[in-house]
Amino acid sequence: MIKTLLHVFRNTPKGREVLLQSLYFCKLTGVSIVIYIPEHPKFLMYFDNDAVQVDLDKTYLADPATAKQHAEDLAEKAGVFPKFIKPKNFTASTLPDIPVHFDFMCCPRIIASLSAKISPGHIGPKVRRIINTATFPVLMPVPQFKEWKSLVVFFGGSGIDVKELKLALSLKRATGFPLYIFTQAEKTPKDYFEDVLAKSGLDGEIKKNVKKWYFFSKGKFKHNLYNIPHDALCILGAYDKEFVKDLIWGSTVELVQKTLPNTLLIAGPHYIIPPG
Amino acid sequence: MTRLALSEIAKRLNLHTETFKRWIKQGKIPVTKSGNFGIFNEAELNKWAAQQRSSFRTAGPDEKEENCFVSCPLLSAVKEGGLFKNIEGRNKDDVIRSSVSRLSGIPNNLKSEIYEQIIKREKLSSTGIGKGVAVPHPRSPLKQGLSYPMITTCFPDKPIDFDSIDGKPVFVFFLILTPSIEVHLNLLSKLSFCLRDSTFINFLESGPGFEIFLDRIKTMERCME
Amino acid sequence: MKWFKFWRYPGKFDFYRSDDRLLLIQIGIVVGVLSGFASVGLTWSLSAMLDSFAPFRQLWWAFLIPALGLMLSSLFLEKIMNEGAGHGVTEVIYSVSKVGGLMRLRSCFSRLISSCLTIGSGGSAGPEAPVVMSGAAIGSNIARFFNLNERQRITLVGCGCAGAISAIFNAPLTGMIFSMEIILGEWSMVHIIPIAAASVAGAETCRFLEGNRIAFESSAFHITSYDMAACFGLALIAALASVMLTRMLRKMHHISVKIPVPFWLRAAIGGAIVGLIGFAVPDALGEGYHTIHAMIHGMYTAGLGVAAVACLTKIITTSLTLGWGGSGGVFAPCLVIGSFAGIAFQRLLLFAFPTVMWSGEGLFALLGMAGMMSGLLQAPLTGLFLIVEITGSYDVMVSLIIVSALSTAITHYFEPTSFYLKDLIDNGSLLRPGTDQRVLSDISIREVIETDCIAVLPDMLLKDFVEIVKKSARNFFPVEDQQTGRFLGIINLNKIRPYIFNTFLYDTVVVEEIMDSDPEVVFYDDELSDVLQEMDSKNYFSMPVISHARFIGMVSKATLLDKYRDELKAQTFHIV
Repeated sequence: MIKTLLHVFRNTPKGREVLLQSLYFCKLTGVSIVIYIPEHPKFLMYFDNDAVQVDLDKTYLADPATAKQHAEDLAEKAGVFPKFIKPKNFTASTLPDIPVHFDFMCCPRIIASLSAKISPGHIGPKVRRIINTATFPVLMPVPQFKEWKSLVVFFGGSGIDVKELKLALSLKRATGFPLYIFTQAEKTPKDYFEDVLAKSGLDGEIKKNVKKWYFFSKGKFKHNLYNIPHDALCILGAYDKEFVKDLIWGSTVELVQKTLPNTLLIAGPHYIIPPG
Repeated sequence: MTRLALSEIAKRLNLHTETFKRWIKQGKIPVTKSGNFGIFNEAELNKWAAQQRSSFRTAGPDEKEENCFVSCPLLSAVKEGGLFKNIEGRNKDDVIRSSVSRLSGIPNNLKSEIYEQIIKREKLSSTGIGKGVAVPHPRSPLKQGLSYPMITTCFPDKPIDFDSIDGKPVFVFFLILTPSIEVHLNLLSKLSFCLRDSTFINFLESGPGFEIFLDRIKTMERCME
Repeated sequence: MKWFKFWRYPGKFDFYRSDDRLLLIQIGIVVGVLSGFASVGLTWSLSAMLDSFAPFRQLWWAFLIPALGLMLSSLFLEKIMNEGAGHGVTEVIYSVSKVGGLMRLRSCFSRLISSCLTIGSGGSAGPEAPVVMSGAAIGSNIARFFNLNERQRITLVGCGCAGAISAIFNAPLTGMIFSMEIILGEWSMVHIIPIAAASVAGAETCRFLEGNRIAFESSAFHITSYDMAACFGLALIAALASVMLTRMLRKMHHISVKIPVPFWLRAAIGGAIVGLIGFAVPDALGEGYHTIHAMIHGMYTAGLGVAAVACLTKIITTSLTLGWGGSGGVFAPCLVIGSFAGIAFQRLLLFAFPTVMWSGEGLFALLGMAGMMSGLLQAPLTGLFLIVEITGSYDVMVSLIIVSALSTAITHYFEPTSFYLKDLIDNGSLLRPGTDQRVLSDISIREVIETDCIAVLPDMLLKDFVEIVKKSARNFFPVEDQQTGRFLGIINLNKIRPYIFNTFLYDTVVVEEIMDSDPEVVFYDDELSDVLQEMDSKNYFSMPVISHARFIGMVSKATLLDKYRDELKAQTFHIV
């Protein structure tokens, strides 16, 4: 089955960098790209249990005449066949509904028009909400296009499904890049993590596919992040839905986002591993 | 409460995973979702499934994949049927009757039915396929009394006139009994592949023993693959 | 933390698992009470605004009040709340039929405030649609908070609407019927009970806060057979008025979007015109409940000409207000127009048959309202019960039935779809439960696709192709480019059957020569109803599905029927 990535295209030089990032991801993983060129300053996404309205930055509507051509040129250069979607349904006459049945979505750190009010190193509220409700992981690229040649997955040992590991393994299979695991264990012994792996039945596959397990039982998380290769795609799982959300969200994901200059792939709590 | 992977429940309900997920979302099925797992009450889901349509099964994933191209090894069928030499009889009907009576593992009352069926088929058109070989079989597959397909190899004591297409008297015939049409066609095509080979015919003319014959079938079948 | 999470998932409690009706009733009551608060809040702030503007009504610049109100209202909706402009009830129906009742949190209050600005300043619109919208949004968001599924969420949206209507009119029965007839379009036991509970809760909230008052209490009428005969004429008048209002609303909207000024300026212009008209016919301003009051009690003194003009003016001001950027509903204006039409008709009768003893003019105002409501909304029951409940006169039931049924039928002849549903039907987004479109829109192509076709390469010899035919269970073979995997064409076994047994061709013909290189295809994210239409029009039984220039699988009518039945059964499972 063909996997797809949704990209909201912004026809500006900055938007081009982001699209290049998406295209690079698609090319390596064999995912097909679906591009939405906004025609209205807002759109709605109806997820399973939430309706997220995204009020776009004005720059997303810049120069609509050349937008499609620009996107096509970039895609052609990258050797990816693009598909453009036009919204079919409208909740209100200026409020289109964008479908949500994708396997990935590319979201810059901030997508909504509030950008000026958000200090650097923070993830915009809409992007957070998308991550929190979406059934697909969100690709969060760095502002400048940068190739990545390895994969790092953050494994915290929580969550029964170890979804982030499964996601990382599937990407490893698709790209063939070396895969590393990063764990900030604090006081938990390594046995515990190995136990989680064994329970999920992934231990064999992990052993076979993982090049190195960065396991830190001391030092600050922030400082240990220095060990992550500069050209790696970081895969994170953002789990718990309620209070824990803010604890983990407030710390881990935001911290990683703030500290690392890497492209992130974030799987939210509702992420469902696609079959096959 | 039972907790199972979503795809697993969908398989048991004989549903597309996408359909199943959507039904949970829309509240059309008494299952709730928790991550990649579905939580349900077995009795309740059974009741629901029964009201939906009879083909929903919640028992377990034990049903075999249905495949319209059944593959059945020739060797085992030949082994099951056995090999008989010196079948007495002056004409076609006689030899068929005596060969049917020698069949092992089939109750006597069924034997007469098998015989009648074979004769009926022979009346339609002869199964003598030429080169002195015939493949008599009943008109329709046996409904009961047969758990495994069998091909019985029979050598009459002297060649018999079988109304073959090339008029040659038959020196060997294969009695084919199968439980289904698919298996029948499969075995027949494999057998005819062997019989097209003239060295095999020569081999049969030499009147081989059962063991040697089985060895030969084994090698022939390997060639087919 | 654990208990907190558990509490947010009541759908998973064992107690509610087998039958969630009890759960829905409990949450429904909460929703009803909250929408009751919303409606009382709006009525109170409206009357406060009207009172504070009353002293200025006679001043020469009074026409600027509605202009300012409409401008602020549209600015508030567009810039502060970032709602795309849309009609409240239509949006609720859209969300119920298309997205499983999901609504944004901001919808809970945005329309309340904007309509308060519009109506309070004198714009001609009703407070009902905004209240319905916020009631629905409250229901939807509570369902979201409790992680309920779509079916339960839709029931709660219905609960919100019912609570809102029953609170604003103090009419629990109407709330229930409005919600079933217009919002959900489905009469099933699973919905009725929670919605009834919410409706009662909404009405009780309103009674607790405002006292039990019947909105337009009327004295008893003595209905003669002459009056009954007059009903037929009145139904015609009401139907014509509702057709006129529907067309006028649409036309005004079309005119307004063509004017090349910013939306807020447009709203201001519309408001100013309404204000100017208001100098001549003050009854055409605001939601107009006091006018209805006067008419029902027989205290409206104007003659035939004035009543008819008032009726027309109200139609114009309403369509100006709503079509040019104001925010509000058509419920209340509809009632006003209906009663004006009724009065005008009564005056006409008096003039034509002066000797007949007609029943009071209040009766005609009342019947006019019912006829107008049922005609405009294409919902006879809602119109009927609304009038019965807000006037408290059950003795007019028979004549009400005649008027609303006839008016619905006559309006239907001119305008086959109601004002709320017109846009939805045009976009194909009205999907009522249990209908063909509903079933088809629920099933997606990915669920019916058959992916077991074997792909072949374009330079394959016929001989090799025949070998593949032997292995395949399907009649279709997609041809794909070796390098890129792009879809080149398809081989239909039925079309090449005569040649495939011809052994002379085996080594001379390649696959490329026998494939259909330009087949009709459908795309992976197409809607199934479109696909079926395509199949029907071209008489195909199956079609290849393409995504990103690659072959995905086949979609065929045979599989579809199977899925269709499953879907229909699952969908109608609860309607018993």
